Amino acid sequence: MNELCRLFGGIIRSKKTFIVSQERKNWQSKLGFILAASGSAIGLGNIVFFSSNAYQYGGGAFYLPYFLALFVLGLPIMMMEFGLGTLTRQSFPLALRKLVGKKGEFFGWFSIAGSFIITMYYVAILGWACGMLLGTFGSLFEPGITAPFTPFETPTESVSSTVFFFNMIAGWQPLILIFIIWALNVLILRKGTHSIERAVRVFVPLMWIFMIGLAIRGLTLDGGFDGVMFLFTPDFQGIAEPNVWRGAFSQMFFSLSLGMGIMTAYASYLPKNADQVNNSLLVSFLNCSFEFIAGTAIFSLLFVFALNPAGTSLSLSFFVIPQGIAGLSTLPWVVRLFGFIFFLLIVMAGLTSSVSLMEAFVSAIIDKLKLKRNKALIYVAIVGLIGSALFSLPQIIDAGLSGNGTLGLTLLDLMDHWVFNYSLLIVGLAEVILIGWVLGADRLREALNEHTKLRLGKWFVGLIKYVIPVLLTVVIVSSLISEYRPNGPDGGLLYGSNYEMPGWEWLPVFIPIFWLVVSITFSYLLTNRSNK
Amino acid sequence: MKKNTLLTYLLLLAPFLLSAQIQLSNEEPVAGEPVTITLAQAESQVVVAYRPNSSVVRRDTLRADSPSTEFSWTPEKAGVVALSTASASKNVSVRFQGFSYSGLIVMLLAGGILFGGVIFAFRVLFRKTKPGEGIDFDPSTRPDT
Repeated sequence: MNELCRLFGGIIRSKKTFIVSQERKNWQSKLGFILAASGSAIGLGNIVFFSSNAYQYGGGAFYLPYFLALFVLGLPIMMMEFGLGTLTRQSFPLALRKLVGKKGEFFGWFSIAGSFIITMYYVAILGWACGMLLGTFGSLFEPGITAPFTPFETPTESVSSTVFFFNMIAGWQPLILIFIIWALNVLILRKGTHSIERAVRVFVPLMWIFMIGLAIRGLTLDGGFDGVMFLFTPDFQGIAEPNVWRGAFSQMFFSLSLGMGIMTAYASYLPKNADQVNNSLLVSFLNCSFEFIAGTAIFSLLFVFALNPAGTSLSLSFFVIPQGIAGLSTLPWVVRLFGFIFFLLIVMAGLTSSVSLMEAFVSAIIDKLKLKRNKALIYVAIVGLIGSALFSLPQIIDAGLSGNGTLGLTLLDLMDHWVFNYSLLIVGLAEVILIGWVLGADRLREALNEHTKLRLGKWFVGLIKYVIPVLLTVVIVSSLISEYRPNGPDGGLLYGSNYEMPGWEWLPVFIPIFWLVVSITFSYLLTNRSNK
Repeated sequence: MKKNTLLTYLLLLAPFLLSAQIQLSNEEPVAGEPVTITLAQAESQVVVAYRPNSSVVRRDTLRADSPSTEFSWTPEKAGVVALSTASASKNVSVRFQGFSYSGLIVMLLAGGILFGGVIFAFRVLFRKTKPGEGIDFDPSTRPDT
């Protein structure tokens, strides 16, 4: 322990830190922390994003880059982020400041800015999922529905979740639902770890039960097992494509909630002698096992009903899977029940993740500005609510829905492209460079080994200092290069340049600039503000 | 609106609207076993896309010397397949012939690693700490709860 204190300049036993530790609440049990951290990691990405990627990149063949991403990238970074939390008992930006100085804090706030933008549109998506959940009691699984714009004005002859979705987003209902989701976030976070733990003790086991139930139903359908074999049978045709590897690395980062400050914030509520090596293994394997089950459930549905996940993972959740659920039984109440279970699962998984995203931000500003928790929650929720509304309501920028009502989706799509593809990976790269080279990966390894039953070898240092920085640099640079595709299928110099948005043509250029300027300004101002 | 997005939505709706115009002699075709595709309208070709809308999509074209309403097709691979003509499209699921051993091996390996990892980590979590191995979770270090 003395060695540890010397390594970290005595910060762990310093008077100031001791006072902070006294004020900081702790998880009530190991299980509570594991449920909260795995609940954070298990989100929309596990249910649909994994299946979408596995379909895209060759089924079983995708497991090769996926496992490489898990063992080489995901696990070491999770150990590092958990370690930052327990060693400093501070949220992400201040943990980095304590260990590597002001430049570390800057990247910490940059990560918080990115994760807050993600929270805004994530809650918007949850609002839509809530709308679909309510729709299971209404007309979601009924024919004869319309949406008030082309090409959905004629009543459908059969069930169409696509038309139902567009009818829903054309109204004001999503705003109310988004307000409810933000209110639930505040409610769950109001007493910190205490109330988070109470919520995850209900939500996380239910998520597992529902997902296993859906998988069993899928497997017992005629042809369901062939669907599962379709998921796992490898197609190595595209394995050499850089997109496959980039997809797997991005998937792992987002799936494990890395580069967002969440895991450090959650680990900061653990006693400093917690075994963060084993915690990382447990959370990562639980997360990926959930994806495994979700994949079997979704692929059995896709196969039995001959559906293909065209478009994004959002289209898979809102259009393709409900279409499969509609065919699960001839009994309407059975269809409604499975529809209800699926969307409740999406809402619960999303809620446990959005709570963790919000906690990363709230704990950081509480630590930095010494605000009261309730005050911090209200400030964050109000700004977040406005942002989510902008992402969700097409009417705000397209009153007559003349652009087919999807400008709201387009805004989400543009922001998601930049923040999701770059922010998390940039923060991950900055983290490993700062911890690996400024603090020293050896020091982190020694600190983690102080309290673990599974001691880390020298390989951990090699991964943090050399392998991960090189991998992340390759992924980021190759992504940036692929942005430039003037003659590609999407056309335009920047992502989204080919969108037809009369009067809004500047949006694809504005969004990345806006994200960078806001995130950098936010990070600069908070880094240079003295700790109260 | 993004053109591709609208096209995607239309493509999502299209199979349900137009699939009735393409019929198969066996609606549950099996890989390696020939089936007859019957069209409502005579066409000179049918495009077969294995794993449509993916990065590893592979297309075959079934051609006829003159426009025809019947085509013979032997699916090469199991999975979701899109059949399309100039005026109609249909998704079908091609079943595996027998058993997919490579799929089973990947499933067992992946499942073994992931669930084995969960079991291993849970066992370590609840294992009693040996002296000098490190201090496990100690409730007395919770000063404020």
